[in-house]
Amino acid sequence: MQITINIFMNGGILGIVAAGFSLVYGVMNILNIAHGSFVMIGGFITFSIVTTWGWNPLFALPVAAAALFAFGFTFYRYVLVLLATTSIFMVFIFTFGLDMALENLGVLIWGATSHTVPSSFQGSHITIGDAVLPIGHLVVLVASWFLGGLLYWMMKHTKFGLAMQATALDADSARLSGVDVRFVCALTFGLSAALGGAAGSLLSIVQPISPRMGLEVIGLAFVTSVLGGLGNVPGALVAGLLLAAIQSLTTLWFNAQYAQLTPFLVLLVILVNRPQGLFGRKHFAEVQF
Amino acid sequence: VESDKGSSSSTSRRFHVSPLYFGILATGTLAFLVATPWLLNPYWNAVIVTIMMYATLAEAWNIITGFVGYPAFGNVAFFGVGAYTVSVFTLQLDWPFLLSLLACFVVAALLCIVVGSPLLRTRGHYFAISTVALALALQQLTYLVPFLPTAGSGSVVLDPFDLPGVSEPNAAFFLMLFLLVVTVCFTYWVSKSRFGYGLKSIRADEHAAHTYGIPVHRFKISAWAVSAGLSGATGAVWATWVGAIDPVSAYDFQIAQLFCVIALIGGLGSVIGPLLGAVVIGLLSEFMRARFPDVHALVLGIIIMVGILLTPYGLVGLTRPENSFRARIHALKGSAWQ
Repeated sequence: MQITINIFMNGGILGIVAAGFSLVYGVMNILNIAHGSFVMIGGFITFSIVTTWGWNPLFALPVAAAALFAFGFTFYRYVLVLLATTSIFMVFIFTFGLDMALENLGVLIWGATSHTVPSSFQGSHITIGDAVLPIGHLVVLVASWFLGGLLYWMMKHTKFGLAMQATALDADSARLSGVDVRFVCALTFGLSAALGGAAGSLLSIVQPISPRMGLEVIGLAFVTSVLGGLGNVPGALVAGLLLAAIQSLTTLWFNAQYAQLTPFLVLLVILVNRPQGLFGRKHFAEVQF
Repeated sequence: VESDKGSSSSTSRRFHVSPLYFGILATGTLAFLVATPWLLNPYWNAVIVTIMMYATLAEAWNIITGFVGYPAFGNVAFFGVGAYTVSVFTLQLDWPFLLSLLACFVVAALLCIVVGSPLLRTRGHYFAISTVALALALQQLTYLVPFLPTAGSGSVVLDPFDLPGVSEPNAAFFLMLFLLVVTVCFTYWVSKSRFGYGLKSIRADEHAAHTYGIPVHRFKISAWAVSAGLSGATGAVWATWVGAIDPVSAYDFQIAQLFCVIALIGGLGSVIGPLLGAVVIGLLSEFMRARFPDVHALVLGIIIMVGILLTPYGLVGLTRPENSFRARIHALKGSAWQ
């Protein structure tokens, strides 16, 4: 029961990490390896703010998100836009280069060791029966569902959200209908980075963060976004919870070592049998060199 | 090797080396490599072994990714499997190294045939992700396999090479060189054979290739199995060379990505591209590590990004005038956001 609660709480964060990752894939066909590093940097911005000024980590969240939005938007605006016509695998490796650079930057600034963000949530908890529900985890779960809901609302009900969906479906038709596709892409990349930053902020509340955590995060983001269907944002949010549930159940029935393995086995089974994800529409990336 | 001079830039001329020059170059390089253990100090020997390892991995990756067009970003799975298989064969079954090396090739290739068949049903990004998932799953599985010498921590200490008449550092050198030569010869054969043309037609259009009677699935799986087997054998030599392995180092994601970077920077789908990439990136990486120990990943990351911006078709692509640096910079200016 206790293990179930602890890991299940991470499902919310997993969901928004994967949603950000999936968003960029859906709109621009970019598999952004550096997304894990965005999460890491978001976490460390929170860490710096909390340790320097003693803010509540939740107030540091918008700052981290805004900083990463600015980075993502600028990076797309000036650099990634140049790669619009390059093969998708070159862009994949390009984001790997970005990931290497960001990770090294993280180690330079914050050191290679892991850090824990001190917060007022630590130690306080609610007891339900014999299970302990830490307040920090609860806050994180609510905050990540709030962010997920905000994203969903934005995609369905704002002009930008509709433009984003149009670009995802067919960039050329969107351009013909008067959508400024490049601007939408830049905003989407910024938004995805902001979601990564927010996720990092939330992650730093519940677990220690280190500059080398990007890879672990991106591995799980892969699994989650494929489970929900690559490019399917609401799917990713649900899949986050599903994956966390699978992991916690494996821990409960076998041991923690198996819980590290199951996500990837699930991923392989899903990819082979249902590549569009559990809830997705059929969509295949064509190979181009 | 830039060849755009005004009028000639309109014709798309492929860079061409005459067989004679190529033969002299290849023989010269090989002669240098064979003599290297006696010419250079141990540090540079280790650097060259590493470069040859990356060249072999990149060239093996090139077979499935460059020729067939299936981006197997998780090929490091077979590297890791080779590393662990050699430990089982040499330590627990007491086989001599060369026989174990062969066994590693076979095990990695068989694993690829068994696991790869369903994975090859996916395409594009999905295939890329599924191979990465395979590597990560195998990495986690290593902790759980009971028959490894030290179950639990997953780390294994290996015996040194037991080749007759060759001492320790030279053994790694010559084995790596041997694998490199085998891989390059195989890739060269692929690039010229009916098999290779079949693979290229799969890359161009799989359905059309199927319609023309090419046994698509058999070709794909054979190409990947050889690629996996060569990666596995490389993993076996690497494991014995470094002497101790654990799941994190054997399935190292950095290694996995670095040989993909090498093949892409060098140029996919050509025999010489991955070799060129391995020399350039390998030396660059080593230089960075020695010169800027704290920021070498940062600098290397930036170099990868700039490299892809300037040479989207790899170094080999530069020989075509429409991909030259000048043409590329012009194109970049055109696509910039004004």
